[in-house]
Amino acid sequence: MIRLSRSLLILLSVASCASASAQKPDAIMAGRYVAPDGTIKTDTAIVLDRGKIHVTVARDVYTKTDNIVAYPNAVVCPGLIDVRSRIGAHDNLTETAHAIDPAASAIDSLDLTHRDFRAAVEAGITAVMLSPTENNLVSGVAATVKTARVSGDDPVLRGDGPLMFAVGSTVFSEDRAPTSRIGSAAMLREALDEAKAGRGHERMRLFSAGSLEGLVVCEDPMDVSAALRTLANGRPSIAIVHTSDAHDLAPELARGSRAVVVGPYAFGMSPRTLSTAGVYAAAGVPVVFAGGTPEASVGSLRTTAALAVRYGMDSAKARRAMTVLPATLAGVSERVGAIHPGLDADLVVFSDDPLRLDARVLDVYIKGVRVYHADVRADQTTGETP
Amino acid sequence: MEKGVNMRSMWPLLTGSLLCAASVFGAPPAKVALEGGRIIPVVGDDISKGTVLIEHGKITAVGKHVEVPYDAMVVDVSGKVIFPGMIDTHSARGMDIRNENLPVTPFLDVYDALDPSRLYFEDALRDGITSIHAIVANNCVIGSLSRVIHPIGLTPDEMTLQAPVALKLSVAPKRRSDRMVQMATLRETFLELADYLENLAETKYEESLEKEDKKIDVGPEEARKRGKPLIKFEDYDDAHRNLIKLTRGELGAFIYCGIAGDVGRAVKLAKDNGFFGRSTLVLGDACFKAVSEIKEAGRPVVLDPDLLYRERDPITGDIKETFIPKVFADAGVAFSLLPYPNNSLAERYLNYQAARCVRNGVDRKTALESITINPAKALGVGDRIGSIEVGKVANLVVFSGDPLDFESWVDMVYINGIRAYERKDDVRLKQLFGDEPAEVTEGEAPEDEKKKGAEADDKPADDADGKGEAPAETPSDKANETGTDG
Amino acid sequence: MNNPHNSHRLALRVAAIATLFVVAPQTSAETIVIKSAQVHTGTGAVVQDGMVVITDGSITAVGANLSVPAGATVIDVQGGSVTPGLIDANAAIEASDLMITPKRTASSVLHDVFCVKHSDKPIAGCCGSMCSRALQHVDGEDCRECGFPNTAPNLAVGVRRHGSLAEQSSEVIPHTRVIDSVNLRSPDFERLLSGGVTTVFVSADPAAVLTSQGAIVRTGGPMADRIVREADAVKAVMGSDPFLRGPRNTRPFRQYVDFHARRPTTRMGVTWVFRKALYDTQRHGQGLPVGGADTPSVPAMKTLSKMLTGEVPLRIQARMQRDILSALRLAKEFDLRFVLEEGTEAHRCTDELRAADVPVIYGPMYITPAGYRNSTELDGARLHTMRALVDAGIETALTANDLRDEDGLARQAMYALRHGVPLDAVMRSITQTPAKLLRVDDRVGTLEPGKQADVVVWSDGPFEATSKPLVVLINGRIVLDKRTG
Repeated sequence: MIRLSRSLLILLSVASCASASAQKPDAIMAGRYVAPDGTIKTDTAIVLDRGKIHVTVARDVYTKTDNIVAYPNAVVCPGLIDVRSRIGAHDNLTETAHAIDPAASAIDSLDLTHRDFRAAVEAGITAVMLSPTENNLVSGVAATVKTARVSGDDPVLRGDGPLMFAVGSTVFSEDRAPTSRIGSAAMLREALDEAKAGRGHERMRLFSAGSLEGLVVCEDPMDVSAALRTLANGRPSIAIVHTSDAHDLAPELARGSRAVVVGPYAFGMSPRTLSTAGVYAAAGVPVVFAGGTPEASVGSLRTTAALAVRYGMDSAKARRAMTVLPATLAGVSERVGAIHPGLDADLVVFSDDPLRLDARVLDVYIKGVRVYHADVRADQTTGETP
Repeated sequence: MEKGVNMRSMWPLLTGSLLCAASVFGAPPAKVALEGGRIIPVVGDDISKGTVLIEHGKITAVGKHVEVPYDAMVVDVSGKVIFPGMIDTHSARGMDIRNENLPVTPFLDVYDALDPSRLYFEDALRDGITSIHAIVANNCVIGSLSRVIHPIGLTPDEMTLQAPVALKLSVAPKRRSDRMVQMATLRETFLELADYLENLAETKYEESLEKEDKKIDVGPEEARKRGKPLIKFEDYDDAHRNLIKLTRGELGAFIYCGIAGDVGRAVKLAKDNGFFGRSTLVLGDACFKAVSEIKEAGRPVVLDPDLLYRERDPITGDIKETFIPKVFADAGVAFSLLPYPNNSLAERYLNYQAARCVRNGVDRKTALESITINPAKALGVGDRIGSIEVGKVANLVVFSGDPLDFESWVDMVYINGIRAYERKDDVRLKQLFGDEPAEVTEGEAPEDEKKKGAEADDKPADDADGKGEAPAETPSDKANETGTDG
Repeated sequence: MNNPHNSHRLALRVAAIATLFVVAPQTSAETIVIKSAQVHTGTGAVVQDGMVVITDGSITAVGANLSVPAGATVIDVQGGSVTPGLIDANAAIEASDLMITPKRTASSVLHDVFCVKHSDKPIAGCCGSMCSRALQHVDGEDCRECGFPNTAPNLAVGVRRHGSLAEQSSEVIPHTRVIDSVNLRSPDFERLLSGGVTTVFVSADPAAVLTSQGAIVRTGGPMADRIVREADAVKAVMGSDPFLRGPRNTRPFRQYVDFHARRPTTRMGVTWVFRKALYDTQRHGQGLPVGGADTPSVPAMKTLSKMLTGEVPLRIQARMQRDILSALRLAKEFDLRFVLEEGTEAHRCTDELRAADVPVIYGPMYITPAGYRNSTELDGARLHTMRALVDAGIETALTANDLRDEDGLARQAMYALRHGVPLDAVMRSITQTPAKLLRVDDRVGTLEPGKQADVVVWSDGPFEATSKPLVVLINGRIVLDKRTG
C-alpha cells in the first residue's frame, strides 16, 4: 500500500507542476507561524517536499521564488486537532450490550464522506479523534482521521487507540450491571486483574502491560481520583477527559496522567471552571482542548482555547493544546500536529493568532495541497495574496 | 418517637395527666419559697444560694437573705439554678392549622385555634418554656390576633396571660404568591381601610341627620368631616376593627420579613400606616444582611431558629457560614431567639440555642436575655415576665445546673407560682430512659388511671391528632413555622 | 492500515509521549506545643494544665510541667481543652451515584419522584438531598445552598439517603468499595473537620445483604494523604434495609422490576442470602460446584473467603433486638467475629452481646429516641442505650452517621453526657475505641508519644454546648484555625 501511495504521489506531483502554484506550493513564506513550542515566530519559509514539511528556514535564506505562497501578515498554524469528536459517525458509536467492550473500534463506524468534515476543514480542524460513546466502562478504541482527503494520503492516522474508558454515571445508567459507581469500579478492577493475569481481550492485556494508552472519561472530580487509583496503576499511561472546576486535582493529575482533556468551554461558564485549564497547565499537566464536534459547533475548539487564555492560561500552551498535544494524545504526533520537518504539511493559515476569535481561516492545506480557500473578498481586509 | 406504637397509645393518657397538673395543683399553696439555689435573674446580677419567694403567683422577694413567711411552702433547690421561665416568641404549634388559606384575615383570633391538648404544650414545659406567643405562621398577608399563653390550662382562657398582643403581617410572599402581589395586597388593605372609614363617617352623618328628619345639606367631603367624630368603636365591623386598632397603635404588629430586602418594605409599611412604634420584626435567616437597616429601625427583632446561615459562593463554590446572632450582637441589636421546631434536635431547647450563641462568640448576658427578657419586651409584657424581679409573674424554671450547660435538665417549672412540671414525675421521659411501665390491664388499673384512659378513649380526635402531629413535627414543621416557604 | 500487529510500535509511542513529573515531598521539621487547661488523652485520663508537644507530625510528649522546646510554635487557648482528633467509625458521607436514565435530568427526576409523587404536598427534605438545608427544600423554590432543584451536580451528590451507593446487580457485593463513590472534595468533610472529626470510616449503604467494603479517610490535609485505607471491612445488613432501601425497587422505579427484582423480601430471606453466600464461598473454596439463582460472583466469593478466614473484618448492621440476635446466631454458625453497627435496641440484649464479646458502634442519637430518621426499625430506641452498653462493659464507639450539622460527633457526645454516660466513657467512645475497632489505633485515637498528631483544641471543655473546636491538627499540620473570629 505504501508503495502504491508513493507512486501515486509521484504521479500527482508530476501533474501538479502544471497546475497553479497556489494549489500545491513548494514553500510557504509565513510572516508569522506557530512553532512546535506554541510560540509565534516570524518571517519563516516552510519548505515542503512531497506533502511533508521538509524544513523551516529563515525567510531570506530561501531564495527560490517560483511556486511559493506568501502570507506576509497571516499566521501559519499546524492543522488543529479535536480529540473529542463524533464527526461522520456519531449515530453509530453507541454500543451498550456489555459494560466491558474492548473489541469495539470507532473506525468501523466511520463515514469519511460525511459533510460535517467539510465544516471542520473550514474551521481549521484537519484531524479528529473519533471515540465510541462512553457509556461502557471500556468502550473500545478510538480512531484518528484527517478531515480532508488528498490523493496519495491515507486519511486514517491511527485506528487502534487509545482505548476508551469511562467511570462516570453514564456507565451505570443502563439497564444492566453495573448500576452504581462502586459496582462499576469493582467490575473494572476485576477486568484489569484478569488482564494482568493474561486473560481477557488482547487490548485489555496490552493496556495492562502498558503498550496501549487509555483515555478515561470522567465526570466528577472523584471520578478522576478513582480513575487514577484504579487505572493509572503507578504509571502515567492514561489521559483524563474531565471538564470541571476541581483546581486541587492538579498535582494528582500531574503525577498520574499523561494529559488532561478539557472543554468545550463556552461563554457563560463559571470563571472557576474556565480557569481550570490554566491551573492545570501551570501545574505541569499537559492540557488538551476538546471541541466536541459536531454536537458543539466546529468553532468551539478555538473558543475553548481563547477562553482558557482569557482565564489565565499561557497562550503558547493554549496553542499547543490544539495542535501538538492532541496529536500526542492520539498517538499520531509522528505524522501531524506541528510545523516540524518530517511531519505532514497539514497547515491552516489564519488571518491572525488563532487564539483571537476574530482571526479567520484563509487557507487550509492537507499534505501540502490546498483543500480550502477563503472567499477573496474576505481577504481584502488583510491584504493577503492567496 | 412518634412512630412508637407503645408510646402513641400512651400519649393521650400521659397528656391527660400533665394537663391535669393545673387541676392537681388547683389550690396551690399561696406562698412558695425556693431556697438555696443559684438565681440567675437575667436583669441584675446572679445570686448564689439565694431565695425566691412567691406569693399568690407573684414574685415578692428575691435575694440572699429573704425572710420566708411561716406559712410558705419551702422548696429546697440547693445546688440547682433558678432561671426565669423561657419564652417562645413566635409559635403556631399550639394550633391545629398554622395559617388560614385566605390572605387577609385580620378578623381572626388564635383564641379559636388553640388546642390545649397538643403535645407541644407538654414538651414546652419539659423544655422550660413558660410563656408562648401563640401566633399564626408566616404564610399569610395579614394573619390574625395573637396572644401570650402559658402551656398549662384546660381552656385557652385558662392559658392566657395577655390578649390580644399583636396582629401578624407578612411582607414576604404567601405561598404561591409573589412579592409584588403581597405588597399590593397589603397596600390595598390599608387603602380600603381609609375608604371604609370615610364612607362610614358619611353614613354616620347621614344617619344622624335622618334621626332628626333632615335632608343632607353638605357635600360628601364636609359630611365625612362632620361624621368622623360621631363614629363609636362599636360601629366598626369585624373585618376592620383590628386594623383600626393597629393603625391607632393600640395593637402590636409582628411583621415577617423573608429576605433582607423585605426589611425596608416592612418598615415603610409600618411607618405609612402608623404602627411602626409597636412593630416587631420577625426575620427570616437571610435578613441579617440588612442589619444596619434593622439597627436604624430600632424595633425588636425575632431571629429565625436556624441560627447558622450557609451560602454557596456561585463563583468559587465555597460555602460561607454566618452565625446570625453574632451579627446582631456585634451591631448592638437586641434580639429574641426561637426554638427549632424539630423535636429531635437539641436546638428545640431555647437554652441550647443560647449556648450556641455563646459558643459562637456572643456574650453570655446577651444570650440569656435573648431567651427571656428580650422576648418579653417584644411582646409588650416586659413588666410582667422575662426576669426574676419583685412584682413579676412567678414563671420560673429550676435547672439542675447552668442553663447553658447541656447536661442540665429542667427539674421543675413554676407557672403563676404553680408547680407545673417536675422531672421526677415525668412518666414519658422516664419511659424514654427504659423505665418501661408495667402493662396496665383493664381490671387492675387504678381508679384514676382508668378514668383518664376512658377520657382518652372518648376523644378519638386526640389520637388522630397525635398521628397528624407526627409529620408536622418533622421536617415540614420547620418550613411552616418560620415561613421560609413564604 | 493501522493493524495492531505491532505492539512494539505502540510501546514506543507510549514511551515517547509519557511525561514524568517529580513532585518534591513537603517536609515540615517544626515543633508545635499546645498548652491547655485540660488535656484529655482519649484513654479517659485528663492532664490538668497540660501540654502536648508535636514534632514532625508526631506527638513526642504529653504531660504537665514540660519545658517548651526552643523555636516551637505555641498554641495556647486560655481556658480551653485538648482532645485527640475525633473518630467516627460509621460515617455516612456524601457519596454520589445517580441512578437514572440519561435522558431525564437529575433534578427533574428526583424532584418528581421524591418530592411530588410520594405525597400530595411537597415534603421538605424528601428530595433525598444531602444539602444541609434539605429539610427546607420546597417545591418551586431554589435552595440557596445546593441550588436544588436547579443544579444537577449538587443534587447528584445528594441521593445518598435513598440508597445511592447500592449496586443493584447483586445482593452480595462485598468486592465493591465505597471509596469509589466517596467525594473527597465534599463540603461534608469540611463540616466534619470543623466539628473536630479527623478520621472517619465511610460506611457502605445498607441496601444489600452483604454490601460493600468501607473506607477510612482523613477529613483534612492534602488530598493525596486523605485515604488511610481504601477497603476495610465487609458490611452485612440484618433487618429490613436490604428489602426496603435502594432507589430502583422502591415505588417510582418499579418499571425496572425485571432487572431489579432480586431482593429478599423478608428477614428470613435476608439471613438466607447471607447463609447461601457463605456456603457457596466455602464450597467454591473446596473446589465443589456452586449454583442457583443467588450464587455470588467469583470476585465476591474471593472477598468472602478472606472474610471467613478473618483477613477481612466483618461489620453487621442490625437495629432491632431480633436482628441483633440473628447476627449473633449467624456469626456463631460461621465462627465469625464482627462489630455491630447501629445497635438501636442493643440495650435489650446487652447480656448476649457481652457473652459473644461483640463491640458496638452505636448511634446516631437524638433528643427523642428515633429522631427523624426514616426507618420502621427505630421504635424501640431509648435514650439510655449507650449508658446500658457502657455499664455492661461492652466496647462502645459512638457515631454521628449521617448527621454532620455544625458539630455532628461532638454533639453525639454531648447527648451521651446528658443521657448519663460518664465523661471518660464518652471520650473513649469517639477516640480510642473507634480507633481500635478500625485498627488504626497504632497511629491515632489517643494523645500519646509516638502517635500521629491529630489534635483538637476546644474553646471550652470538650462537648459542651458553649464549646467549639478552635484549632484542628492532622498529622501535625494545622488544618483548621478559628482563633481569630
